[in-house]
Amino acid sequence: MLTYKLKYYFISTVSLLFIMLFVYAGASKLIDYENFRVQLGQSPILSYYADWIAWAVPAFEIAIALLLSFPRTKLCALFASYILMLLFTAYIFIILNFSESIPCSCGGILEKMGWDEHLIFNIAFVIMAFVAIVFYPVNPKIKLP
Amino acid sequence: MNLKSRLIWIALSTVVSIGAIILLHIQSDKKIHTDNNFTRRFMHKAVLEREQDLGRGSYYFAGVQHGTVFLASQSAPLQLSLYDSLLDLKNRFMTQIDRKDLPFQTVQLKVAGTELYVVDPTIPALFKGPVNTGKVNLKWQGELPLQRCVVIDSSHIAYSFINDQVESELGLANLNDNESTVNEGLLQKQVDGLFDSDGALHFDPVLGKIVFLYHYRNQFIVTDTKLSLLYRGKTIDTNTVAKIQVAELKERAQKKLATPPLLVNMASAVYRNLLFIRSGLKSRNEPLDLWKVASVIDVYDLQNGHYVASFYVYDIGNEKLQSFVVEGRYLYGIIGKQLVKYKLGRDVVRAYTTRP
Repeated sequence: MLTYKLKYYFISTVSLLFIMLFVYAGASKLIDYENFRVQLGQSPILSYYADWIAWAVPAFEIAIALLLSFPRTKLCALFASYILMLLFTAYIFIILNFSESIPCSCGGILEKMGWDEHLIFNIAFVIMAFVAIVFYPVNPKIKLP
Repeated sequence: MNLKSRLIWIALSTVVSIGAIILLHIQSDKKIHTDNNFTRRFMHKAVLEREQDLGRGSYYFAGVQHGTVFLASQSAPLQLSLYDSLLDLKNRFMTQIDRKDLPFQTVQLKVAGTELYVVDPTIPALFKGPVNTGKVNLKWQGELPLQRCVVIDSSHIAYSFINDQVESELGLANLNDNESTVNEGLLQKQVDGLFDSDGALHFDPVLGKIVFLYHYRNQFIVTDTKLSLLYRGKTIDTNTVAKIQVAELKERAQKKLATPPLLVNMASAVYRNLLFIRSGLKSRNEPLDLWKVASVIDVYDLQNGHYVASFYVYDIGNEKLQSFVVEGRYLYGIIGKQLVKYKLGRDVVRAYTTRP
């Protein structure tokens, strides 16, 4: 049985990792917005919706990162992170059935990953969010000893 | 929130988010293919396989058969050059015409099956002969010049011509008995009926479909071999009305373009059930810098008129793709003085109903 303290540190670490990931990915997309929009436009799944997805995705990423930083909204934000990572993963899964030539639009250094690495990376984050949600204390108001 | 309800929430959101992506995918697929609002779909790239210097420009395609490319040239009108699938020159000869007395102006050579055809859009005549002898004889004479024509079979051609009202129309001619039938109303007048109805004619012998593609509006017409309308298709851009201005020169009874027109559909080709169009318009989801160095080709399925996918053919020097033909997995193009061979992407090849 994991101790309360260990669970607490796990949740904090996962939240921090997600904050870093979302702030970085969201900011790189916004900084290079035009490029991001064009890349989305070339995606076989999203091209038709590229215009609004192009701002919705970074907006969600940054909003979730914000919510993760406050104790009161943390659990809710972990759910949101889980869903968002799952959406990305499902998207990659479908892309993989199409072609390797489609550009990834994750932003910044994340684009350097191959599609398979990307899939593993995403699944790891999905699992981390899942475990963090399960570990999250029922009554978070109890202070650490 | 206790553990049980968290797990229920996780399960629920997992199903919903995966379902959402799948739904998005299906929806987007449907939208792209049927009610496309000018969004191109790029999947597999077409790859440049070979390049051959032709020495000079002014070449055009007379045909392609089993990997042999037939090229003719505007600067040497009767010369036919045969290039093999490695783009090496295999043969070159001059076509012999039995009636040199006719006032030829812009001779065009066409190869279909084992036959060589010679037409001239200024003369109401057609010459035909076996391509291996290079000798053609007067086969058909009509009343009006063949503006554009395609060979349907050894005894029929489909053609466009200019009628008494100086408007374009489509007709079908029987080469054996000089009979012609005209299908009035196939081409639809928008501005002047001449320039606005200009376009390219294609025929696929396997499916038996004649295709007329308008140059200045986002439409193509698909008919059977009797020239009866099967359906009118739309290309993915939004130019439903030809953007041209025509000046009529009354004294000379001539029509001229007053301003440069907006060219929607440039070069095109048909092979089996696929229609390939080099489009003149940038879609909503393309970067401008790519358009400065490449031409885009859109592919449509002639069975239902649906859009399939697009791919790029890159410029050579400052020259863009001028004309092209498609045979099976390969596209042959003329870019300036170069003859190029591209291998089509998997997504396009997969769209053929019969294996190429």
